[in-house]
Amino acid sequence: MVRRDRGQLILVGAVAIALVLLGLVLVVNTALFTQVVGSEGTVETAKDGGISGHELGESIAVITETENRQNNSQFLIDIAVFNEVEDTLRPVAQQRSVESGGAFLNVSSGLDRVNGSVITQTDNSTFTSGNLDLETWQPVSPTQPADVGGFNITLDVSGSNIGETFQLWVHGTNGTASGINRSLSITPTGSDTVDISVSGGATCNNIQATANTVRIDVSHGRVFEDRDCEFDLFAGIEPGYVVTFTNGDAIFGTYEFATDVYPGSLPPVYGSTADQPVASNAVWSMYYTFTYSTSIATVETERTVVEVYD
Amino acid sequence: MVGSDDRGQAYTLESLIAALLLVTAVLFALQSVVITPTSAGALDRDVQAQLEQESNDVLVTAANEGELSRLARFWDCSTGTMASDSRSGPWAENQGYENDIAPVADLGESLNRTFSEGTRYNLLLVYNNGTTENMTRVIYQGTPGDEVVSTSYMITLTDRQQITARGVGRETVGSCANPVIPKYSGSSGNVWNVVEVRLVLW
Repeated sequence: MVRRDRGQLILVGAVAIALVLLGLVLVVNTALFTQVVGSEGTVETAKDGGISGHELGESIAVITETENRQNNSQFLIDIAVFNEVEDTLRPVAQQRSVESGGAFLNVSSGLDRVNGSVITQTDNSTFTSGNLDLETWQPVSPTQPADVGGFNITLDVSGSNIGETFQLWVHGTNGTASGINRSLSITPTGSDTVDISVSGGATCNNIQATANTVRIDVSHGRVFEDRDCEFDLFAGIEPGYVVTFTNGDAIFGTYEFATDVYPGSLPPVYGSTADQPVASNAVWSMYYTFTYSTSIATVETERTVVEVYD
Repeated sequence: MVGSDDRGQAYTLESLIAALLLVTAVLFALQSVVITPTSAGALDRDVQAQLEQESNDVLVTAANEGELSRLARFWDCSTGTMASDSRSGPWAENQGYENDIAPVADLGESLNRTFSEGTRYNLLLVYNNGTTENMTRVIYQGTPGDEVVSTSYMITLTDRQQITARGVGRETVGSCANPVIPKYSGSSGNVWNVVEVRLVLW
């Protein structure tokens, strides 16, 4: 009898051990689940600064781009940009941050920047050089290769020469002969139509002008009058560009672009009136830091660079 | 007799433990049932996180290419509405674009490519005129359901930026007679307004 009871007790003992193991599994399972929820919550709260550094940097870049066109002094541009940030960007960003549980505190300039220039022709004219009126010329010359950005062309189609082709050449590898080069060709084909093509790339035919205008965002490869026309003039070409205009008499209109250098020899290729290309000082890139606070921390970002024309 | 008493006790203990085992097993099963529906559901925590990441990536990529800014300036200055587009169709205040396609090329295509047919979304421009918050519906696919994912990206407009729609000539944000997004009343400089491009998915 005693031996049979012992067998039963061993069985009960085994079941008890199984039960303990099952309990342990439950405890471990619950512990893991709690850990995941806890860590996710913390991360989400920390991310909710309401505004990211990337967004703020892009906004500063857009404001700087506008101020570059209005001021001919990098110091004044810097002041104007941070006044604009303080007057408008900060209150709106602050409001949004508070809604999302954070508080945007301030932005400060690193007072450190890369100076450049903006080349503009603001009144309708041919795309020739300034005082010398050259049809083929180099707005960015081989003696001073540069990065280029914010390149916009606005064509006055009826004033352009039908059937003639203007070409904008971009030479890479600091403009050396061995470097890659590509061209953007613009050909007015009628009183209100234009063909645009990029060497080795897109061809857009019969783009219809509206209000006598075709607007080309050369840097982003877009034509506002034709959403299907996309191109990449700078594909595969490293900065250190040389830019050449050929047959500048073919088209009529305005243009602007920025570089990370100031042209060393302004006259005679740059003029002094609005229907000639003019160079002015600009901010190419700058540094900033910003601070925001959330319920769990106050965060000051690291010194971040704003590339104005990226 | 002594052996028989022990056996009774053992039986009682065994039945008690068996009952505990059964209760524990049921508890364990119930716990599994609680977890299973969320992990297999259409919008569980992981799927929501993935959707949020994807929508954020779409907005950041579009912002880097200047698409969000171009979208926020796609105005018809004669009517004060978003401009119509060959692919997007006409725009209506409450319905957004008729064809549910954003009027800037890459953003419109990436939205349609990224999110499967089962996912619906609204694309909105949210801005403040200084006193009230306003919203313009770019794409409107209905009232969001229970499980919503929302991401946004803030852009800044300045008065010298070009209007990006066809047919406006050389109009800029500042010269547009009937701007869709009004100037922020607190701005005395070149900043026109700060716009939140909001993507709501469900």
